[in-house]
Amino acid sequence: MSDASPPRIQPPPRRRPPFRNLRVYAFDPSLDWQLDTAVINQMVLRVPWEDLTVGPVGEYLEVVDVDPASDCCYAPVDLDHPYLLAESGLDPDEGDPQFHQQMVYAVAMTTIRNFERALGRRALWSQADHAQGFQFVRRLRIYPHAMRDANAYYDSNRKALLFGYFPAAAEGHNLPGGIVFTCLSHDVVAHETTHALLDGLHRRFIEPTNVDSKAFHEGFADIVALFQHFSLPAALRDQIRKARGDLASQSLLGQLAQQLGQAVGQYGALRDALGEVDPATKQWRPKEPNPADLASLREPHARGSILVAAVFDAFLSMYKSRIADLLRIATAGSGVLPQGDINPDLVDRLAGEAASTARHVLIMCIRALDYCPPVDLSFGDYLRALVTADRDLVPDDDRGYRIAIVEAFRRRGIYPQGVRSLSTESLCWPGPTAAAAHALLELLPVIDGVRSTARHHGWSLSGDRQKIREDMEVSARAVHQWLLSDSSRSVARMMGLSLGTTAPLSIERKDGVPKIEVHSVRPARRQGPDGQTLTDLVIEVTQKRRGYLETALQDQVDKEPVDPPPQEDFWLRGGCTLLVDLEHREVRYVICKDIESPERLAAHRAFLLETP
Amino acid sequence: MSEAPLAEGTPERTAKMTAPAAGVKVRMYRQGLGNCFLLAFPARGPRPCYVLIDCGVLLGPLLGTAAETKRRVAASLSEATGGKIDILAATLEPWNHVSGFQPAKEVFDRIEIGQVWAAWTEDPNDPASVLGRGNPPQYFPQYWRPGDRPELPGVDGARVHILGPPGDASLPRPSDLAGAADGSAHEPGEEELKVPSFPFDVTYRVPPDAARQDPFFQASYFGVAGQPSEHEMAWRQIETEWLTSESHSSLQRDRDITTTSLALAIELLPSGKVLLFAAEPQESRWLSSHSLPGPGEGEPGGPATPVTVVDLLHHFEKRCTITPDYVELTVGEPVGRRRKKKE
Repeated sequence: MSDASPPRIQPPPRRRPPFRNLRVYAFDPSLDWQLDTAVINQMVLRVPWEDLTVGPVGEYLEVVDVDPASDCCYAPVDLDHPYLLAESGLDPDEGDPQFHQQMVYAVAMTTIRNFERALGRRALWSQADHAQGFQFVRRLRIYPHAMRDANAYYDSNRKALLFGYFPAAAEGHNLPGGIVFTCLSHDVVAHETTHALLDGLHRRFIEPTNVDSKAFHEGFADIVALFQHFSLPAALRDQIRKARGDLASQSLLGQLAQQLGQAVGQYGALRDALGEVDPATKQWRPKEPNPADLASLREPHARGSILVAAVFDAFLSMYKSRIADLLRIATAGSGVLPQGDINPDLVDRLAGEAASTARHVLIMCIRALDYCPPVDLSFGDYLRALVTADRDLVPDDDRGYRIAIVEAFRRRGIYPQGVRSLSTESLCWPGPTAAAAHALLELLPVIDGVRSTARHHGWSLSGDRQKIREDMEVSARAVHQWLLSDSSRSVARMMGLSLGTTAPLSIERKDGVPKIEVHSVRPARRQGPDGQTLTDLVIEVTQKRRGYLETALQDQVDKEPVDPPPQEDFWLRGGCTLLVDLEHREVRYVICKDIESPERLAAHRAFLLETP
Repeated sequence: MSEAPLAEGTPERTAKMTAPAAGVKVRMYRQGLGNCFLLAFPARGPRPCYVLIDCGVLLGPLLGTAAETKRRVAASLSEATGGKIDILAATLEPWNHVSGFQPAKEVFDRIEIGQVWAAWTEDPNDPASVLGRGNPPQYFPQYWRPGDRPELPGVDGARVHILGPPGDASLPRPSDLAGAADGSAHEPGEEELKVPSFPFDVTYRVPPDAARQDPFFQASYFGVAGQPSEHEMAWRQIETEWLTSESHSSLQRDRDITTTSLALAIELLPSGKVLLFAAEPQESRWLSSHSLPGPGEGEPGGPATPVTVVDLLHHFEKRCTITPDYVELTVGEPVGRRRKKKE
């Protein structure tokens, strides 16, 4: 043997680590400056492991730190650097832009992970709408220092989150004139990431078609940010200890964006799900639910806070019922806690109950998105979606969660339209009528084709996201073709679509046939009654119709062919979400917004005409 | 604040912009990137006095993507003024601090500029100014402080008052107004404006020119100069976003920031109307809620008529839902004259 080098010892193969530990602020930097909160404010997030390049740039996100307002860029952080791997990333530091990059990445990834876990499938961003057609966007862009402004937002054109920074006002714990970074607020990052995730799921929800549209986007983003507080173990235990188990009192858990709120000159957090600070006395006071708010509050953030308060209220009821036995055990049956600090073991048990209740509520809120109509969502629709989603998740409501939800919404005047009673059963979306169910059987052969595609790649949490998007488009084309066939005509009206020859002429046409768009064909997993996992297919189909503010013109365009039709004042969108049970081969729900409905047309018109 | 009814001139698309006999004609260019006003005042000489108040359309830094827009506006300006602008007032915050005049080269190749006005915060020689430290400006602006009254050359019928940025605790900031109810209003002083304007220490800052050469920023943001990637990546860039930041999914409703842009009021003498120019619409709100200098104030025997503030931005925004290249209004013209025109 001429080759003299001895064989190298091969170590046994190592598995990839499941998580990457990254340090972040649990809330925001301002809590670091107060002795009582500093201990809970720095925490380690366990982000799912993925291969990263500098930026960080991974499968879902790319952090690009350019700062045009200061005319400079900041070098991208390398989270795979051995020093950073050994130390759970960089130390929290306001003055180091690379820590900012690390924190936005970690918090956004945690939010994405919560979404994926709740839905049981991969998250996709909405497609880029370019001149040459829709394009797959693999990564959401994050600009941690995009502008000098006390604001942050999701930009659906750029598919990017933009975070601002600004000098602080003199309120609260901020250094007057010191720079406040919105990208260092856990809540702000979670809120904006949720906007992007929601847009990826329902790209029409961003269009304001009724007073609830934008408010829902805001409220939902706040709900996700708020309930993520309960996944911070140290902060949760600390706050429960201070509040002696009573989550309805003022605590960090029910408040969003402390530092930002103070930095823009408020006395407290930016938003508070439970109470508010009286501007005169500067004392915190709980907010009483007021059904009149729903009629008077029209600004999206304020209106969204009604939704947040309703969900949080439901959460509190659930939590209280879950800890009642613990309190009785701890107090020898009286249920009344003695003066002073409560037992640390009890704190741990209460925190555990709060965390698992919050997890359930968050999952329910996210899963409800699969039960929403594809366009023109209202708070009432969302309530129905929540109740239906929960029924599918937990068939028997022995803890009364659904009643808690309905009760909390009712106290704020949120009712769905067109239901006979507020019993949870009548709030669930109805199944199709017998005739419709029979007619929809026609769809099943198409579904079978889709099913094999879906099974192949499965949308599982390890599938390639671009492939998933492509498969979805193949499935969407199959459903689209079926809808345009003669056999589907009879069911189209049951799905809120208008495909017949008598369809209003204001509905957009292609080659003389009313146009339809199959938005999405995606699987939704749920637990069956005997514990098995079932897969539903969620199919969203939409149509659009020219809307005119003048009813006479509307009638004319609806009835007489005009080519080209006059410039529309707005687009009325309609369509439906179908949930199809793949195991039992039946259509479970048809959730529609009728394109032909004169009431919807009138409501949309009224919404556009009303003066804010 | 009361809004006066404006005498509305029909938008003229003639090449040359004329001045009314009294008052002023205001043309607003709307390009989706802040606003740009061209004002024509009647002057003693043969030609009107042209004042350009720019809030970022032309002088905005790094506006590489809007070069075409700038060229179009520049061509129109050149035609309208016959090639000479008497006063260029740069109200945009860090206009020379960031970019010098480079991006506006298209404009200055065509148009002669009489004077450049800028806010004192831009002045590199002012000890309290932090924004001015940067490239020495190629043009030498005149720097103004609140209370200054620069003159419009050859114009008798108008007077200019500099209102901001606050340099001597003379004006409140929006957050101060909010806190004023409990008497804890916070007065910004020069000390506060000295707070470094950069968010990070110099060791972290990478100049854009260096970043353009860096493989990471080339691959993820800038693209490579001269390659298709330079344009393919433009759709996600945010170079101008900070000038206009607004979107549907913003974090909160109202912005409330300290601003350091030049704000000025132009008082039209016969009519007593005051035009207010500020880069931020919000700024015009807080400025107008504050006491403005009255007409003829400080002059013995000056008339003590009440001030009418014409909030141009607001007015234009209400009127112009569809955006042409520009719209024009005439302000401060005697009413009788307008009637005569119509007959």
